[in-house]
Amino acid sequence: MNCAKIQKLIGPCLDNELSEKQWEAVDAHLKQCAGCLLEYKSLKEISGQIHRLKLNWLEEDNNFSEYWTTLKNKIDSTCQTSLREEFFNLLWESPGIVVAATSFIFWLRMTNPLIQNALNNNYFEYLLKGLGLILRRGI
Amino acid sequence: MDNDFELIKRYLAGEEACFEELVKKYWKQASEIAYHHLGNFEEAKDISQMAFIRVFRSLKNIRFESSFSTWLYRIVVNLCINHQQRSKKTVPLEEVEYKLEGVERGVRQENNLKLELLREAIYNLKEPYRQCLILKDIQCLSYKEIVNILGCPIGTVMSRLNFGRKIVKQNLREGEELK
Repeated sequence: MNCAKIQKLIGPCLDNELSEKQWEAVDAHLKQCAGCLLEYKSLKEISGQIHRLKLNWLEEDNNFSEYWTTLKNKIDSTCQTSLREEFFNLLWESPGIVVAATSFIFWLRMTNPLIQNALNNNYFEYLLKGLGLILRRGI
Repeated sequence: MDNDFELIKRYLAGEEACFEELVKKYWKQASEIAYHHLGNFEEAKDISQMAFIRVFRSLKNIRFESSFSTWLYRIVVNLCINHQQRSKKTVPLEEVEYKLEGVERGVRQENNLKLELLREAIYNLKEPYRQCLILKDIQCLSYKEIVNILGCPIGTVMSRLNFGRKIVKQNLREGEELK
């Protein structure tokens, strides 16, 4: 293998991600090529230095119970929101409910004289507008 | 991996403490990945908690395909990217808490200056390179895990790591010359 190919394998070599065959090829090349060996050493050093950035957790940060309490509170508050979302999603996404509600209103309208009277006086329009407003705010 | 899925199954079966156990197992790693992305410890904790909330809400639909940790880290990385895009703030490097925390929170060593330079070099990297370096060199994940988290081919991960390390090396050298 030439230097260009080996240089591509230096990273995976440092990360122990080479096959045995590849590793042997890199190893053999590094033994005879000073330039690639230098590259290998410098990348190894950088990789090691970056690893030192791994956090050493201080005592005050290492408090799982505090973390858990905060997380639990957040989960509880999002659960309430998601329940409301689920209700409205169910309402809008299930055509069965919408068809049933429309049929019910239509049936009421056809059969009930009181409703017919209300319709004549535009009471229904106000009621539907009000319901629409409530639903929109709810969403 | 199987142990995580076992915990999830037990949680879904009604053992509520299992979710807490899962969080306990991964909260540090999740917070740390977010910390190296954002450079702020409190924000990092918030982001990791948001990730756990997403996990919690999706547990019922989990398909047990990839490992739990990969799934969690992917959520954390995506949340960090979203957070950075949403805030869209270009904080001058002198004001980044990251730098200060390097001395306060990081390894207390004699060569803090070098550590600080290193943090700056990482923080200045473009997002894709930074992600790969954080996941590989700091969190010590395998290429396969990184591929699953970032959703890009293994060749891309390898070249990003290679390029990222070279840029860090170059930035470090320049920083040392300046100081």
